[in-house]
Amino acid sequence: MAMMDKMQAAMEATLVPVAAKINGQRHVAAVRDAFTLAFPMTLAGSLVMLVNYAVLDPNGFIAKILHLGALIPNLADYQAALTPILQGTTNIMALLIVFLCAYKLAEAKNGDTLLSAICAVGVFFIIYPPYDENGALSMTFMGAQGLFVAIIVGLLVGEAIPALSKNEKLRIKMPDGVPPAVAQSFNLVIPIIIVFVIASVLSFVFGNITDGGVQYIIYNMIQVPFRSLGSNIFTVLLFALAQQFLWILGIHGPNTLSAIRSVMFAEQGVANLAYYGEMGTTIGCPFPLTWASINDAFGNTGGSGATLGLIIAIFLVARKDKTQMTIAKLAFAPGLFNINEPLMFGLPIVMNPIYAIPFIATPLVCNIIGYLCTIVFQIIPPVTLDVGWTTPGFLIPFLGSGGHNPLSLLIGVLCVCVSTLIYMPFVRAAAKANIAREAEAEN
Amino acid sequence: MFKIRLFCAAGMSTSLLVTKMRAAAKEMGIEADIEAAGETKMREETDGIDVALLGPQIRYKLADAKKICEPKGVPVDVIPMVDYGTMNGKKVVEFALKLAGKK
Repeated sequence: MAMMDKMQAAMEATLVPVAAKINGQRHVAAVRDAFTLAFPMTLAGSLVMLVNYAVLDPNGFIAKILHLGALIPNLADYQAALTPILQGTTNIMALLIVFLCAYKLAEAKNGDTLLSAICAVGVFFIIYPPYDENGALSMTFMGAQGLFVAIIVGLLVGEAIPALSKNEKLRIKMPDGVPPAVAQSFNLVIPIIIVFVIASVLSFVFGNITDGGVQYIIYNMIQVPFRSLGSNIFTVLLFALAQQFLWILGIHGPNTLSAIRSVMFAEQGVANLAYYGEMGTTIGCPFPLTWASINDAFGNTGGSGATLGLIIAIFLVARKDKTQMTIAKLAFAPGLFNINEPLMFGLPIVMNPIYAIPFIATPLVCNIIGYLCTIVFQIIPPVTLDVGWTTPGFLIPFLGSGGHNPLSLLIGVLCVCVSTLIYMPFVRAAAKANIAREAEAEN
Repeated sequence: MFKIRLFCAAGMSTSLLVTKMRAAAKEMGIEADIEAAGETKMREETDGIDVALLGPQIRYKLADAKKICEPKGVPVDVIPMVDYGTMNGKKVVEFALKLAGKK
């Protein structure tokens, strides 16, 4: 134990401050918080679409159970009643993100949050591809494809407005008789004009020297390469590895990596949902391989480390070990909903050399199973619908693919079995050590 | 009324602990108002409270949390890992009381 204490102290001194710095860095934090705050919107869109096609499609799993197809003619026609919800959620993702990024960054800088946020929305449209000949604005960059520009604009405006508004020289002086509230409203006018003029001129310049302007350049030169980097099994495995390693150090892995992960996988998730909204199936979706479709679907049952298997393994082979049994009983109910802090800090898994190996290996193995089943052999549909991370993990492959294929359910359960088997020998070893220690304490 | 706020990544796992802490506070005869929240809500949720606690999984946030809490005169610290893992409500309530200088 002495060695582990020393190692822990060393980690506390070196890695924890690094993680703290990354997390505390205000731009990273603003991006992360923006996606966290926008998340309920995409989840809502996703769940409505899931229900829409499960109930209002004659082939949907609920419609089949209730024989709705036979009862209601033209059942599928009624889908149109709910599909517009996508227009208010995923299709305007970039708008939400530009607002929230600027808001959160301005907040960290103690600036005017709402004003910075609405200015960012203003800039987003100032540099938006121009109206077409019918006076219409294309929706293309308001959703997933505009996310990078949204992040960049949100961060720049969230930085600029608070900074400029602190400059006394940029304030319009009002005579003494003017009510303070009125004077206040003039204080930010010059900063806003400066920001808008710079945005507009830059957009004009870019529009003249390139084809399509800022949105197209950033989309093609940054977002597309970044996206392809994400849609790769090695990237997913690397993220899983890094996240599990951080957890071993006692640092919330998913949370620490969420800023970069959201940026890398946001477009895919949103585009997949739009595809589902249109086609009613996840088969043939544009991005079958993302973090959510692999790790959240297959490698996260019970929480990071696929620890539902660990709890089951304790129930199976460590019944005589009071310490582990107490924690496992406590952790079972939250574990069903993928919350595993009791295991992390109770067993503990954090800084525990016995559990480090299976904790890192299990999600990797389950992710590979998911990859083989959905991408390589395509025996089950890709799991691209977001059903919320607190949905019991073994149900996600089934529900997250629209609930079409019972085999998905079986694969979800198989992943739990596999994780149980991987954890089992380590649980046995930990139990042996605990029982020996308890016996020693009694003597 | 003793007001405690717990913060973790999403406010999910600390909400488990909150239930246990409420029961423990009742048993100890303390009138307490205990809630959990996600760390992004720290600014809004720390007004007028007696003590703020962080889940050990976000202990790297302590420096940031202090920046928010100290100007408000709210003591803040990380919940000990073992008490958190075993969901020991009583110990965490005692920890909070001690932190607030009430014991």
